[in-house]
Amino acid sequence: MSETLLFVGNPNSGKTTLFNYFTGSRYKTVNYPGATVDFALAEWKTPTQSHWVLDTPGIVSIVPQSEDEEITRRALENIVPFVPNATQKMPALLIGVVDAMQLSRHLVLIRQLQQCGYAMVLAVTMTDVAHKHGRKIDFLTLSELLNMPVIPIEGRTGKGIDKLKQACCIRLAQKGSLPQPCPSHIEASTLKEQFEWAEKMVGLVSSNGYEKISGFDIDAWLLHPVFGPVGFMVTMGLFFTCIFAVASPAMAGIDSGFTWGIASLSAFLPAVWWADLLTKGILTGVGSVFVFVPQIALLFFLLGVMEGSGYLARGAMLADRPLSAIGLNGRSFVPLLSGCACAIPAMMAARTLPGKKEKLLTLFMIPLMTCSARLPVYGLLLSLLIGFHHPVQIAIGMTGIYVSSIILASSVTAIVGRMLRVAPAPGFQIELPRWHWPVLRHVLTHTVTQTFSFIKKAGPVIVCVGVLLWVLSTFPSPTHSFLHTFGHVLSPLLSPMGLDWRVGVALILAFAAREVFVSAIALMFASESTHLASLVNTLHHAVLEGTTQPLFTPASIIGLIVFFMISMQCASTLAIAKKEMGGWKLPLAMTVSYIVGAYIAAVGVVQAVQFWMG
Amino acid sequence: MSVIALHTHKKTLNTLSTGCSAVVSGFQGDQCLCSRLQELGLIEGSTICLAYRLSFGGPLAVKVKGATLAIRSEDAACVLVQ
Ligand SMILES: Nc1nc2c(ncn2[C@@H]2O[C@H](COP(=O)(O)OP(=O)(O)OP(=O)(O)O)[C@@H](O)[C@H]2O)c(=O)[nH]1
Ligand SMILES: [Mg+2]
Repeated sequence: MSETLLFVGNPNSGKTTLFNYFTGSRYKTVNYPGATVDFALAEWKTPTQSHWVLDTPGIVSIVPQSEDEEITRRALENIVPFVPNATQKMPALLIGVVDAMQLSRHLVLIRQLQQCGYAMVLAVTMTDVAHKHGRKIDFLTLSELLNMPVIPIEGRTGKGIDKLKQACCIRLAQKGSLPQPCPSHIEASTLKEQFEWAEKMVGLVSSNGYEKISGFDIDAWLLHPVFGPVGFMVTMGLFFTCIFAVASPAMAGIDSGFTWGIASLSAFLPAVWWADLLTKGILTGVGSVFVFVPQIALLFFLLGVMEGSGYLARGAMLADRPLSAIGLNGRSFVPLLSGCACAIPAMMAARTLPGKKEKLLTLFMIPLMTCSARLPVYGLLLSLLIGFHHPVQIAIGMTGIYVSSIILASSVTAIVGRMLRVAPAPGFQIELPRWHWPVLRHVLTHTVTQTFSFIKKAGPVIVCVGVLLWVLSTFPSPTHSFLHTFGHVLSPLLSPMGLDWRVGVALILAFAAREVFVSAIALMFASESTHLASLVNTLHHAVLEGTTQPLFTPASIIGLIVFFMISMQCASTLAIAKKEMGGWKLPLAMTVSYIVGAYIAAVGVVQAVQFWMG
Repeated sequence: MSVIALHTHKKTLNTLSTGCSAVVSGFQGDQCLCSRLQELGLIEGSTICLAYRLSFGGPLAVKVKGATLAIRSEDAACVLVQ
């Protein structure tokens, strides 16, 4: 019979790190309280049996105050919805996780759980940090005092995991009484008692008190009244500027590689229809988007470094004041920042927000952040606007786009905030974790998996769209193709944006995935070589159909950028918004208004720029 | 009149200056917020130290029981100190 083990503990105590070692999983660990927002399930096989192990979001007390904490509370009370074929309602064993440097706070939760009657094994993490600070802990005495096995763990190397597994096996074999339901409220006096008890325990088992502030206190600068905010803006600015500037050599490399590959392939292939489809329909499309993969990888890498170090919580603190001005909360910072990678995990991260209003507003703001799928689009459009051979100017332009999206998103959020009739929740509080060196191995693995998952998701869509476009533009005859007929229906909508039907088709196809816009443009204007520079060159000389006016003018390019900044084109975002907002009404209203708004804003901008430039 | 006088006598966490230590002596205001602050370790009788404070009325950070907690200034007004 399989039983269920639950990892529980305070936020950022090292549960996910332990869970990964314990089960051989690879979930993301982040030096930020509130990294895990959903449960994770894995199987643990002992020589004789197999058990389920659950990782849970961190909780401060057994009384939950946000949605992620509620998940843990629900798992504590009833594991049936979380594990397949559960035979029991209650978890058989809890693995309590506490930080060796924070015992006097983290033991309080352990006390609360023990008082409910759960069978427990205690894992004490960060023993390497405690050792470095000269803090000695008598684990044997602690185990006697708590009346449960206590296992020290070194989370950087995984030392102690085998002992933890052994202790779990032994404890599972002993049968205990069933736990009582957890209380739904804890009196202040009870809490005080629990803290005093924890303080006493720590006094009995630990050599010295709290971490002494020694050496250079980097927070004194990063959270300085003046240098703090300035440093924050510089960090964010560098972050966004880096993404294009640093990646551009790698992009050029991939670009040449693809071009050479396609050229040699077409020289080798016979001149038949499928060779045409393969080179012009598929490879050109794939190549035009994958040129931008280094940018995306760099974005994930930089985010990983920030996540590993502990800057995110400081960022949340620094951003609280400006965010609260538009009705949000410092805790919205992390969801919004991860929205710069992808809206889907970002929307899930919004669960850590304690108030319903802040959460809804954050969900409204996330689709307006510049996600990684928009990078290829902006990359192409900026190359067209500024010229392909000016990576620094393009990088500055990219930062400009990021800044404009933030300003735009803030304004939208402020307006939506006025309209939402939900009371704001009280307060912002966050624990600032100790600084850690990011584990390079974790950051790199994460970057690679994320980048590959982008390729895996985008690749098939680009191929399908490529084939579709090829078919539609080849039959019945190249000059009177289906695409022509369909495209001309779009014309009236596009002329106010200063564009013609060919860009319109690319815009429609971008609803499959934003990056498809780039591959569709590459195919529609099929340049002789696939080299990005020559694509840009071809586009420069493209004219509005039936006229001699250039198609891609500053006005129409800026209009397209504005369109992509606002438009919500991602079906997965809609699906996750439905899940997180709890219904279809709000997400659909959001999608429609962002699409219509994008069109209106784009037309407005194009007309204004055209008027201004004469 | 007496109520106002009483309030002005109470010293709250947000009035401390950077680097100052104090002892938590009680709570006032929103119940939900107060209990969360207590769960985080701001328990009556515990010694705290105001470590950092941002400008423009931004959040402040206190050290308590070996942890550093960032709290909004307005919320810190709920914590009475001595
Ligand atoms: N030096 C050291 N770092 C650790 C140890 N355990 C975890 N960490 C780091 O602490 C941070 C938090 O670890 P996680 O495993 O994500 O913590 P968690 O308990 O899952 O956090 P939440 O999901 O936010 O509740 C990460 O940056 C880890 O690399 C340890 O034993 N020693
Ligand atoms: Mg976790």
